[in-house]
Amino acid sequence: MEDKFKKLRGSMTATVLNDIMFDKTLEQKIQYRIQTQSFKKKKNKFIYYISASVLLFALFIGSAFVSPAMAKVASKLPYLGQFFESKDIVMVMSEEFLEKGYNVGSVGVSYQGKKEVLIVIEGSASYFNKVKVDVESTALSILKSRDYDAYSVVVSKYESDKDEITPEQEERIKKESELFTALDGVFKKYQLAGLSLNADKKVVDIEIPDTDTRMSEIEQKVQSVLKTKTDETYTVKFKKVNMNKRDQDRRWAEILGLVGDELMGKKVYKVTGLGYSVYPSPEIIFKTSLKKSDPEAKKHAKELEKVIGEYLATEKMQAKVKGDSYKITIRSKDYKKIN
Amino acid sequence: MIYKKKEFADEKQTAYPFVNRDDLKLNRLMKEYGQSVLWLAYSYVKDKNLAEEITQDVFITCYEKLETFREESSIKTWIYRITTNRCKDVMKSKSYKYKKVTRSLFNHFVSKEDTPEDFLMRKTEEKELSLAVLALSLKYREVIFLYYFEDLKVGDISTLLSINTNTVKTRLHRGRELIKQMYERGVENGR
Repeated sequence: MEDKFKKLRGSMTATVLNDIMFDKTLEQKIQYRIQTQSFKKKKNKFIYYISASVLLFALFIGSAFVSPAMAKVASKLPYLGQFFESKDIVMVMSEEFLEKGYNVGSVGVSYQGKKEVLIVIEGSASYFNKVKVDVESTALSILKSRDYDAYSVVVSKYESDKDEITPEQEERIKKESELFTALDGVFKKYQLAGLSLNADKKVVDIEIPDTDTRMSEIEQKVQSVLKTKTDETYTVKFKKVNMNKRDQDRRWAEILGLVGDELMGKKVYKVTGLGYSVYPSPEIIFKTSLKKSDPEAKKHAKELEKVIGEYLATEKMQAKVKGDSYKITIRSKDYKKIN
Repeated sequence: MIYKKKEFADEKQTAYPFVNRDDLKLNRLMKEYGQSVLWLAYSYVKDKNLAEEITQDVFITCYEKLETFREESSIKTWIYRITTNRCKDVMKSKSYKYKKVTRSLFNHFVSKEDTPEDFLMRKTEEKELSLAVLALSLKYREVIFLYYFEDLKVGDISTLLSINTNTVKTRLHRGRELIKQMYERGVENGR
């Protein structure tokens, strides 16, 4: 009998547990819940700073189609896509730090003025002094392994927010997040595209697919949920969202990230900024360090356009492009289109 | 304070994302322990959907509590403890007790979609043992599962379930006895 017990794992996995599998779907459900729930977590201020600059840049929209003549331009620039299989540089570094057991709170890149990899270490000052050099050299060797020569590495210590939260504020935050969590049901039931609660202005902003006509029903539902949790009056505002466009937006952000990692990482490309827009149609924008008046500028821009175009034409990237027609815009230092 | 809830498609991805260490840790935990947590949860609630829901809850809790996790205790024990506690909470709930009535053990022995061949296949020793374990009452089932399936030491089980080691040993012994009895009854019933 004891022998049988020893084989319990095999017995159960072959029979009753045979179809009980922790699969990708379940993993995604968990990630989805984390994305949609509000967690009182420290946020890195850099996140906003970077995304703001990307979006701002994306607002300047030029116009030019990929010229067929482009194909004839012989490229001196190295081909893109050597690292397609692997992850972007931030991800690679984060995993390495985790692997080595460093208490690194966040990793990011910044390209305001100069290109920097920013690494924030958490913990005491003595811990910081102990590991700083090691963390820095780990980062440098990862950059080197990819031939990314454009970045410098900045290691800093995490400084917690100076203004501490008072008990009253904490209580208020707790109440507000309860209110927000209470709206979870409505969000899921109506498959809303977005829901945000502004407790300061007493507004609930809802984004719904533009095909959805149940606005008054949803508003009623939201109001009745709010009533169970608070005496304050909230206004519900709706915004219609084209879901296809939104999906396109997400895809092109990803595409830009994949293309941009290498372009930004290697000096030879002379790329200093990235942007994208999907309105009215997809466009990816690359800012370079060249001046429009530079005699080499036009040639470099053509070459850049070619390597980017070739990369986007690969099978793997086509799966993300999904047949969208797109523009590649190369800009000079002074925001002029040079390709 | 502004709170946002968005579906995936709306993530405003920046070209250069910052990776949060906790997200990364969670992914690792899911890769390493996802399957074990799901099986452990199933051994408690014996319902696939419910076990999946519990597994989701467990990892959300892990995510929230990552910061408070003390490295001195084993991460495996930590996650298992979250799982067993969550299972017990769920099993205490009214809706679970109600469902249980409609989910008799009979379902485990003969499920409706079984073809006769399947049914014969299921009559294997492996299946019998598995079902016998699942048929045990909870206090024996959990120790048998953790000890034989998860290969945990008596000491670990004692920490995990907050019961003393002698109790673990007694329950293991009693659990084994009960399973033997089930086998004997099975024979008597003209299996």
